[in-house]
Amino acid sequence: MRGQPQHGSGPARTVADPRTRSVLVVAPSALDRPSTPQLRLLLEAMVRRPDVTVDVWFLRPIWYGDVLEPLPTSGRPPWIVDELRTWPPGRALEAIGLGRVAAGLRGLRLRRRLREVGPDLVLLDDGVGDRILGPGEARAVRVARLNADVSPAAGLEAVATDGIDLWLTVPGGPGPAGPGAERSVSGLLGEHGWARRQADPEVRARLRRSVGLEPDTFVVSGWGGTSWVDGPDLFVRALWALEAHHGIRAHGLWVAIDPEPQDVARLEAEAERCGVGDRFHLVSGDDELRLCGDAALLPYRCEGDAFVLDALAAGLAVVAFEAVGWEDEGIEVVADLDVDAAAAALAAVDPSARDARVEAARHRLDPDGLVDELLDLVTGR
Amino acid sequence: MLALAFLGWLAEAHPEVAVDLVAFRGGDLADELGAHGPVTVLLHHHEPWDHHAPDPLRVEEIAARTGGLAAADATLLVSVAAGQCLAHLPGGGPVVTWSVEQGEDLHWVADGIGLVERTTTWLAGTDAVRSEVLALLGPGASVAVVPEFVAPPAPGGIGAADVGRCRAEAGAADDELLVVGAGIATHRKAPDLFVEVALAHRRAGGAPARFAWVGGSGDELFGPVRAEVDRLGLGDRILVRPEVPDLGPWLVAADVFLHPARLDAFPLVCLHAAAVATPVVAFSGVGGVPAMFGDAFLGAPYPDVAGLARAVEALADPAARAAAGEAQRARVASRFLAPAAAPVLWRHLEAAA
Repeated sequence: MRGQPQHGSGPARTVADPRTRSVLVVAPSALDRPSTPQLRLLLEAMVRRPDVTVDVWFLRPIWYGDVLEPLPTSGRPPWIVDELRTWPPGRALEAIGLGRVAAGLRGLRLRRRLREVGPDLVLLDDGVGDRILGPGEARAVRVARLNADVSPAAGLEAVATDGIDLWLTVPGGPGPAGPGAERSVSGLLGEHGWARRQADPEVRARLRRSVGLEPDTFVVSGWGGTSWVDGPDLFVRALWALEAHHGIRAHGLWVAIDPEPQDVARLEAEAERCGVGDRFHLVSGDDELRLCGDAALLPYRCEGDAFVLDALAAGLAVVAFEAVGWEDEGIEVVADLDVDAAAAALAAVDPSARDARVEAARHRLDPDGLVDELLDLVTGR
Repeated sequence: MLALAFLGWLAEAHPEVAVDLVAFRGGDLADELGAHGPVTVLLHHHEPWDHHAPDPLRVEEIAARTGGLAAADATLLVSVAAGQCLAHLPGGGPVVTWSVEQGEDLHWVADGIGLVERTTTWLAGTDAVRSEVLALLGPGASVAVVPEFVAPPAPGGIGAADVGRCRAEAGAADDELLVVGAGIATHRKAPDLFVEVALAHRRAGGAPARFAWVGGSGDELFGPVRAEVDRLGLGDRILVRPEVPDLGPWLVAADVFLHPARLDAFPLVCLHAAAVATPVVAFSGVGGVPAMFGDAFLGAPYPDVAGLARAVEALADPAARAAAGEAQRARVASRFLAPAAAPVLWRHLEAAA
């Protein structure tokens, strides 16, 4: 626990709330990259906390690519550590051969900055940046966030190998580089996504009625284009397999993105051929309809859709082919193109367990939940 | 292919008959058709056409191309789509329309091309097609079933070297099952389901097998299906290759011919396969293959992909395969090869003329 740092420059600190926790986020650079939105969600959740202050430091300036929108902080602007290298007094000392003195002064400035922040928790994005921490930060909880995308620090900064208390990993990304606990984060869902969740049966019933479905019908939803690559034909055949192999006459709701008339005609003919023409509903125009199913089947032949997090948050049991590429304990992944396996997974869905799925998803996907976990580490230290 | 089979039979059985051939669009078979008589192609592939609002200049061009045609004693339209030619043919003689299409392909019947007005004799390739055409024509219409057919296999058969080349290209060892599919690569012919059957066969622990799809390199699903095979890491088990000038060697090389079409009224390629005693596996409920083979039909109801894979696996045993192939061959030879079937069509033409 430590005092509230004064935002802005200057060394003075005031002790506003003894329970305030300080979080220092160290990122390789301000490059806007695929993993940035998830980091932003986490920082937004931290900044919302009255008892948490957040500082963001970038190790290096960026030389290429898009500069990201400012990450959320508690007021103090992000700092680029590499600025120490171009600090004019340091350069002047080097110019007259006093390089060691310059290095010492840079170290002092860094220490002073760190004291100003006084981190209780240091989040090392990509697991890099522990080189800037000193003995003063020894008691701070260290969390390394490892991402699936290529780090701009690759080849420039070493990933920490020790002293990490918690490794935050993502499916498909690198594993821990050393000892420490691991917490897999398949995805974090922002407030907007949570707001859209349809745990309320009345909301779901109203949406279902809008497309002619009874509230107590077992509904499988799916979404995507109407072209072959998003697999709506596989979706139709899964409906057939549900009945043929499991005796379940489910209704299928395919919420189409930019439906093409010739594709729609082909899919409707396919549904007729499969004997599910009266239970296959192809709609478009209302994204919320995607969440009114009891289960979602994502039969894509290529990588999937981030909306899967919303589906999980809404309590849908999600079944997806391997190609979708999402890993989460709430997603039942079946072999690519295996319609029978998809139907078997759908047949195992318990519609009445929706609330339990919502709670489980909140535990895994809610940024606030992850912040709680991180702060618990500080409390437990 | 249907026209070729009939013309081949006609040339032998009735050499006194002179034939003019008209193709609404040109195609790969123009040269082969040309062996039986002069061929007039109304439109080449690059020439656009909208039959609802034909371009007057294009109409003039077609008139110039058909100017040399004499009025026929009888006109045979092989498929309702061929009815697009009617407006450009001379004379008002009898027209025999042989419908071999199903589903939305029958839209030409009611599409204002004069088919209903000009047709004097309606024929259908299968009972199912007949039912659909009758429904379109309305009460009082008469449609006779004249089964489609193919030419018998060429005497002397296919050389072992050609067969060996096909098996080698597919990577099929002598003790491996070679499952072949062929056709254009459209949703209807379903090369994607061919891949799914191969996957299902593998998942079910089927006998060692190689799968090869031949044809459709210019069609919408050829590239995507090929890419999917690569994505799934099945490139060493499933070959997707462009069309070949002669499918015969592939049909003989195949241990099983797999026809996973989503809709196919009476696929002639299945007749060709069965004619060389290669057993055919197909879906039921989506076309004429069950009627083609009767009790010798092998397959599963659409869209049971795993069922189709089981039907393929049932033919892994050489004895079972030989028996199935022979049963289908006998059925086809007695009903759907030109010597048996073409005379039926000829009788309808004679009667119409």
